[in-house]
Amino acid sequence: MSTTTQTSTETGTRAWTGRAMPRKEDDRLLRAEGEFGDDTPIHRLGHVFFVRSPYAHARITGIDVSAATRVPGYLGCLLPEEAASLTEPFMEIQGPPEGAEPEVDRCLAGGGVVRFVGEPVVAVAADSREAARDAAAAVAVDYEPLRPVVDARDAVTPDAPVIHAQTKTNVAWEGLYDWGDVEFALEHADHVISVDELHFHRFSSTPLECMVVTAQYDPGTDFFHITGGCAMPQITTLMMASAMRHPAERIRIVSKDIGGSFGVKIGMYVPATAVALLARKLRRPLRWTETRTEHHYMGGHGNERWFRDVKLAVQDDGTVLGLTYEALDDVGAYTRYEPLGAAIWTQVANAAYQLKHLKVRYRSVYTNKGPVHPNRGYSRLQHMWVVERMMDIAAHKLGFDPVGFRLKNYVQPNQYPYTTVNGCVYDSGDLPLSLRKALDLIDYEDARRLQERARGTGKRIGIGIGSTLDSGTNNFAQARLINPHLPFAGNTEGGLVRLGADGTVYAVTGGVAFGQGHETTVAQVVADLLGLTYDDITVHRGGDSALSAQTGFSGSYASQFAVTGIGAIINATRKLSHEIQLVAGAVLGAAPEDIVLEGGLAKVRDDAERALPFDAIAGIVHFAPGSLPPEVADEVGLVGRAVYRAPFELPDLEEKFGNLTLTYATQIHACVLEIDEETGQTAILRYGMVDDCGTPINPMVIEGQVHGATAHGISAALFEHFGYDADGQLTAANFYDYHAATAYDMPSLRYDNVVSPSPFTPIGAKGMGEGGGAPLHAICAAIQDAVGDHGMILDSYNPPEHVLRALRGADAEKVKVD
Amino acid sequence: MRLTGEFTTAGSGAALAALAGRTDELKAVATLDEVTTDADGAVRALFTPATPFGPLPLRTRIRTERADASGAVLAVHAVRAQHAVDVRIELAFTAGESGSRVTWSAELALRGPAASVGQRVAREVANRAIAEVLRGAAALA
Repeated sequence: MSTTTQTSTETGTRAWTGRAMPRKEDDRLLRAEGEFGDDTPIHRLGHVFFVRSPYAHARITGIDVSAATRVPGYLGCLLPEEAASLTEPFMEIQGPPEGAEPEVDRCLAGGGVVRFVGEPVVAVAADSREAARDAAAAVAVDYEPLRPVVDARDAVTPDAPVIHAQTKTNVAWEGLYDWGDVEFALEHADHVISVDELHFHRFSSTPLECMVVTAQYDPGTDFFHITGGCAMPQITTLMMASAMRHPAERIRIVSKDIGGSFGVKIGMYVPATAVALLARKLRRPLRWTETRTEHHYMGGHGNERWFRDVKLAVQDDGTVLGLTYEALDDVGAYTRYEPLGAAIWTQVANAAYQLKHLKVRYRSVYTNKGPVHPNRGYSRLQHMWVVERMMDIAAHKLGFDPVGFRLKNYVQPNQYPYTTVNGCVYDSGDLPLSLRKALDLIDYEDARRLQERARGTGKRIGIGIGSTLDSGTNNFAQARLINPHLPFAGNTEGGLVRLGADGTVYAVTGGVAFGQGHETTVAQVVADLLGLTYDDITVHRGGDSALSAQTGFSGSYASQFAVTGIGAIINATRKLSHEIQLVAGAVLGAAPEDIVLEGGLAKVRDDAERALPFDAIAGIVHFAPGSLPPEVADEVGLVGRAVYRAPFELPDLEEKFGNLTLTYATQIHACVLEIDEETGQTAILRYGMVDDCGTPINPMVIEGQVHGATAHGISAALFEHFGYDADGQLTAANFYDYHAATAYDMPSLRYDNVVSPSPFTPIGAKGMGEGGGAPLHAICAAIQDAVGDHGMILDSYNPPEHVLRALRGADAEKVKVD
Repeated sequence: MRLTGEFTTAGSGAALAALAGRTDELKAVATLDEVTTDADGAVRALFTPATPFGPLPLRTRIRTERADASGAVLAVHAVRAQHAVDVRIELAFTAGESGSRVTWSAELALRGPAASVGQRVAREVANRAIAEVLRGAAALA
């Protein structure tokens, strides 16, 4: 496979695809003419506010809403018993533990128990947001506190309180992944690096727009109309439908502009069910607009993970043989999308390296904390972080140059397609070239000189590398690794492209955008296929389940739109093209295959005089079908609706072996940072990012995604932490206490790219939006480089107090070299 | 968090202990309104301490675990919207020349958003609120 490089402004061979076209979305957004969840005016709209638990774990002993009913504007409320009688528990991915009953999860606290601070107990509606808030505040809930468990390590001990009594255990799922022979590797390796425990902390991508759900119920048709920033609408529909015992086809989900999701809004079905039930009960349209504090409690945290008894086998020449660890994944109080993370990480089992042996004992563990949801880099970045930390620690401890050590162990360009220890297939890449470019961006040699000059000045310079993958386009059969009875296999996305009555083109994708620029990239691809200009293509904003562009897996998640979404649009456009060719061929007296689409015309090949503009074709089909041959008129609707099916097979469930992901974008980051020895304050001096996501569709959009993912990663590494105290109280329940990076915190970012087209996708593009958490890897490595071997960086979160501890030698005893 | 304080008051220890559950007297405390007794004998009241942020009305339930001439132990649960406070207050009464010296210590837990928003100011606010209501109540003995 050839690997080429190009700058971000170079154009491709097509007229529009590959060009850095200005985003179609930006004009309206910059003019404040976007329409987000809370913007849409609705007649007689009522508002919902949730009464939430202030306890991490407690029994509800009484609920008194009498005072709320006296608040002016009060409309009504939904109580837990009512919700329980009106709904089935939400579907769970995992089966029940052996000899026990499954977890029960409902839209309001179930079973008379609250299990995390912020859990909704009562939904209260009033005719204004303020009245709803006041009425909710007047609801009196009595609790009998129960002992909380807030640390996954404690949750798996025998005397830990059980969070879901019927499951009889706090382990939601447990499994062993064992590929190769890691015991043999550890026994025969020249060196074994052992670390007692590493910790990947809890944070979220905190989208600018919190969740908003508007539910309207039409009793005449028994129809729910749900509007909100739904990132995975079909799954949301199914979750709500089964919970509410309501036909899915009588739930319409619409979204318009969405101010970010990054995965966490996949959990929208939980509050949306409560709002929908209340809207039906009160016969009023209702809206719930999540506050930032509510979002921090329940909007979805990223997975917190403990890695214990970690061992890496390394040879004298620096060859890494294998890795083993035990994972405790803290999923919070309810599993919801979990324990899918227990399988998702295996998409990147090898991380960026040629590991031959890997063994992981994995447990998904309940705690009395907010539930986790997929969050940018979902579940893979935790594993890749620990692999990258171990690579970095091994290089330090064994005296290898960290650059050379990585170069030696990277999957090499000539090894692609590369099959990992668990049967996943890395499609393409050039990691050594990416690393060299990243080092160029930070002027690596000069940075080493800077490091030398800083010695003894009270400042320390550290240089770090983050090597990571962004796996995209899931094989949903991986869910069967968790529960073999699940019906999932493969992956699809839908798309629809139509020629309107006046000859204009409208495209709809099943992939709901929340900032990625889908309207832009879809227009580029459709314009090329139809021979039109970029401005000729109108792309539907957001999603609408009534437009039939969706499949069961539709949505934006798992870095897949460039493959699945664009793939479906390509297939749909080809269908439309074929219909245009049929009509033009019939009218112009030519074979359909001799019709070419160019410049807004359907032309007979090599005969410039015989052509029909698109508006004429549309006019004939819509208004003069009688002038067409019946076999053409009967077939043509000028609507191309198609799916893209990712080519997957079922994995071997016994061996947990098989391909789980179609594409692997790579992200290699490098940074130079400065640490103040007195305060532990970290300042990033240089930051380089090299992306390789195959053939670019819009380089500007790609670069924007890389910048965004980097900002999220830097912020997570240095500032963001959902800390809980021993009582289960979240200590960062708003932006006073949870600092998400702003422009003031960000270094200047330097970008370059490598282009390794994917051999497995329609146009060689790869999904790349999540970014893989490379800043977490790079910053940890840089801090380690600055600290030296004196203290060890074993946590992904490194605020100044952690850095100071490391400078004083913290955690050095947890790392051993044999 | 643990809070402590002390003050002197004219009443004897026995008189202070006798205040427990006596809603008629407690109604006279400036920061307490809507004082009632529930079926379990606990006092329920709307407690509105003055704070740097203005008055913060809290629906409060005060259960007396022990009360005698030497001291008392109170379990207090207060809520306001999504916030809750649980306080266990231990009071010791020491007879003095002109009444009693009251020394108190409180183990206070903030819950809900207050645990986050209030974590930097709670100590000062709570200390003042507890001290004031205890002084106000003791003055009635």
